[in-house]
Amino acid sequence: MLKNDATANLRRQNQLLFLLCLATVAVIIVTLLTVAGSGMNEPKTDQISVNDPRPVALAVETLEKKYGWIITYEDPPYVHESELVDVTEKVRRDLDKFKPGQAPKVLIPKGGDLTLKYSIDPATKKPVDSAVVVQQLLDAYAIAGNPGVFRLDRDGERLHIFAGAAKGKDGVLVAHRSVFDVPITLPAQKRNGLELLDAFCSAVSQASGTRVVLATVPMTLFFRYQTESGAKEQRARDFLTHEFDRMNNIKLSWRLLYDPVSKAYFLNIHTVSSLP
Amino acid sequence: MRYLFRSTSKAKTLLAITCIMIMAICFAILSQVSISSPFKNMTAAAAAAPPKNVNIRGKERTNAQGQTPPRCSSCPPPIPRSIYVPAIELSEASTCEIVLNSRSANEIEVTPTFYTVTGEPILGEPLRLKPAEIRFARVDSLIPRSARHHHWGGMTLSFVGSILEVWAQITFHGVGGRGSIDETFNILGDQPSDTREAVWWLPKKGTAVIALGNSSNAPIQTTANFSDGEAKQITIAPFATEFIRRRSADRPDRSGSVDSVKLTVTGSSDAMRVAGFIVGGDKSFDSSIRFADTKKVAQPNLYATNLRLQNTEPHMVLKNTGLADISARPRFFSAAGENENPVELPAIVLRPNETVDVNLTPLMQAAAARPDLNAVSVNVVNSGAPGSLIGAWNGTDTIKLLTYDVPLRDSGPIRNSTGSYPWRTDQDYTTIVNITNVSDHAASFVADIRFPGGHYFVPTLELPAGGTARFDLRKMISEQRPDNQGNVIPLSTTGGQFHWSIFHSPPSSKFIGRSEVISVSRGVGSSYSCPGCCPDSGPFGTINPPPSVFLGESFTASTTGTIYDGCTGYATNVGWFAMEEFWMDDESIASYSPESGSSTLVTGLFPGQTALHGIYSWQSFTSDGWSICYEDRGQTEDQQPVDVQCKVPTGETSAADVWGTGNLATVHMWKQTLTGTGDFTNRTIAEQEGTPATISDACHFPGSMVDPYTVTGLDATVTAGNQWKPDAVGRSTGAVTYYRQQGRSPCSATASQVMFISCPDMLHQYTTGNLVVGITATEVSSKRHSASAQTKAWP
Repeated sequence: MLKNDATANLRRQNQLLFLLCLATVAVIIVTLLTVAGSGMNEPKTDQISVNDPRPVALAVETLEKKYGWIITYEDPPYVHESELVDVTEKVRRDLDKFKPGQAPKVLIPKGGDLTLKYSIDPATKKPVDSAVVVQQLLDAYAIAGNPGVFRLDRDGERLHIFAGAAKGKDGVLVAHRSVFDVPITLPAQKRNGLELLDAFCSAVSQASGTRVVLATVPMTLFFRYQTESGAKEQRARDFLTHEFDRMNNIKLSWRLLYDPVSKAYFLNIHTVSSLP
Repeated sequence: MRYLFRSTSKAKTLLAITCIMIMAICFAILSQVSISSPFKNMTAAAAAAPPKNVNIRGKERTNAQGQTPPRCSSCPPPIPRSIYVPAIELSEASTCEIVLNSRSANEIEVTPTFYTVTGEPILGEPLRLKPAEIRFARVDSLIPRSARHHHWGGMTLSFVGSILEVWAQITFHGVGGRGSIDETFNILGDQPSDTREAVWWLPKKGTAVIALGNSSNAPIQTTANFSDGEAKQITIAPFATEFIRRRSADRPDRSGSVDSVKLTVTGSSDAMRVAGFIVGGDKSFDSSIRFADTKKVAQPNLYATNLRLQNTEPHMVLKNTGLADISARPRFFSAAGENENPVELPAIVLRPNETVDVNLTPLMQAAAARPDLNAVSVNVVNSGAPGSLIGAWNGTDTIKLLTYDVPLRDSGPIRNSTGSYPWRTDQDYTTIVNITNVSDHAASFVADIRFPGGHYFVPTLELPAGGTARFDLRKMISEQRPDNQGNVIPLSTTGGQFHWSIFHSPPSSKFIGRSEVISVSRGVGSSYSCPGCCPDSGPFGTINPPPSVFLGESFTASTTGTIYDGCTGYATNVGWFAMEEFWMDDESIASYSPESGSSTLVTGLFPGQTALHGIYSWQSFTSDGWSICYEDRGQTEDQQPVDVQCKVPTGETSAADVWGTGNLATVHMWKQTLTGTGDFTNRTIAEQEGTPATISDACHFPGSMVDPYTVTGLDATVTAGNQWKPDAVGRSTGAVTYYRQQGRSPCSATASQVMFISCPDMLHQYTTGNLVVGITATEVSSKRHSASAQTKAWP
């Protein structure tokens, strides 16, 4: 009789254990399916990878397009030959007009690769802080031993990247003051946007001693823009930023590129899409 | 596993604990997943969304959108039916004509059977009638040629359908040499009583002919008691017809006399059917005798419409058919009804079985002074019980020598407030239809004039108490005035069907109607007043699907409805119909005005989509298959989407304007004119790169100091004439110089430009094109879209 009871208890225990195992397997399957179907396995990082004569400039241009951020870029003065590459043979189409090796040189920054993996918010699929990402970008650039030392400055929603140091002709890294860091003075008068930019470039050229040329600009936008702005010992970058802010909610940014041949800066202004 | 379950209890405990821990971990993960679930976020976002400017009415609509109550779902299915007349041949008439009248929504087959005067049946060829077809034919043309030599009694028309789906009327022509008399069909199976009574005015030297028909296959007996005390017992063989002729009393002091008869049936009361005719007399007085089933009368008063008084000698005769004295008080109305001074005659007291030729002198005197009384309607108010008063009205036109035979009778059941009458305007025929409101309050009706190939709809007409609407078909055709759907009755139309029905009137409303078809040359003065099965049901319909409306513009959201014959399902397009209330889901997108009616003006306020709602009332009548109509009323809601769009140009043309100066000396300023309808003044123009960007810049190279040529954005405002400028297309002087110094010229760049125009909600694309800028050693060029390139030597 006792033996029979013990056998029955054992059978009941085994049945309970079997059911517990089955339930565990079911819960594991449900958990795996749920996790697979949820956002938990979504990537929380994104990556940017560029290869360009100006990798920082291209990377921030990519970030602008992707997230709608405004990130201005200013080249360091590329003067040391280790940071330049001669592309005369590739670029010029009029080599036949010159004796071999006599054609005017076309020099561009040597550039290279730049890769950055950065965190994004899974909910918005965007980085939480643009400045953090851009700073990480500049750090990655610096760690790779690329030319120039870039600094990041934040002005409201706008980020400015400019060179804080650059190699001199002797190859020694020296502190650099961007041409847009110089204070300028502009007489206040009625101008359209293009006239203002013309006057701005002249003022910066005069104040910095480095020629600044207007290269590309949203022409119609600036042609129609009317202003009476002027500046008195105002930092060039601040003047330009504030003027852009007054232009009807249009997000404007710039790329100030250095030409080592003419030793001039070329100001390229572009709009940033608000779509993201 | 088998080994596991044979292992020690310690191992089993360990296994159980492991399972529980695994499950706990899984539940923890699941709870985290649940918290971070994107779906949960969506739900929360939706819950937190700010409320839109949505117009939510407190009224709950009980009817689903667009629901149309099933028409006549409770009606009995089509069954074999027969209508019958006891006489198709009169020795006093030269020819006999039948008018067949289809009220069916479909083609319907009708089989005639003709009976000789002794009751021998002759089957005719089946006829096929189209929906709403009216067909006039000589009766003898329908009789098989081999059998035309018989003397004829009655005839039946048999079909499968609902009650009154096919109707007909007989007209005897050449009566007394030139006149005509009508004979209406009877519905077999409608369970009449055993009694029929009639009263008539018989002219001097005239003859009253009473045709007693037996529509059954068994003999019946009828007793006829005349007003002069004469009584006759008549036995009628199966399907046979017996004729009784009574000549007028020849009294030189009077132009005519009043006679009456009471018929009592022994046997099947449904089998005995009767018709009566008055022929001859000094004035060729030809008229029908109309019998009343006095035991089946709904109410005591008598009514008639379109009683001609001008150039007419009228006679109104009355009889008290009851067992007690009654008082009859005739009141005559112009078309304006109670609103315009009705003429009331002194009350007439009638003893039981007494007949009276009413003295109409006061009426005729009033009519002589009042043109509005040229034709009148009458209401004879009876103090007695229903059926205690019968009457007849005849008028002889003293110029046209026609007799107008007008039914003077009970208003009948609700179906008498409908009608589908033949009308014709061929040769010198004219047709006048009169509809009279015999209620003591205002009431409304609709009419639909049908003809081969079309119809002409008369929207709801409200008549005052006693008021009459008159439709002169010949005049309506000549006027060519479009109806609410733009239809006219073509000038070539010569006949059709006049359908009308009480419509959306207060309970207890009643109408009577009558069509009078007259041909002076043929001596025809026919009257048609046959009712329909039940009043029309409806309207059922929709708000017409609106087109897209442009911002700031309006469209009229109209309605389209249909009414149905509750028995046959015949559908009539009524054009517009009234919504009791309009409303808009989102009044920030579109406004509407007025808030009720047959249409509302919808104005676009903001680009987007919303819905216009309307609610309307309908009434529905269903038949029991015979004489009873059941009424139902309800409301239905309809809605249509409203899509408010911002008007955008269809494109634009570019024209060369000027070259820029300073840094833009190498840039051409283009001037644009927007195409398409509308005024776009003060709207903003913007541009964007094509997607994907299709920039081709042969001047640019990697590492260049000048960014690639691209569409950089513009912000222009449209000015008068839908023009805007400039669109600056070119490279700056700095860029041109740079590329020349780098040995890149000649080179050019092309960028795809997508043009947008502003709307309150967003920018809307309206055209695309390419911008091409070129640099040579000495020149620069600029080209915009399809305009010719502009070239300039620079510097």
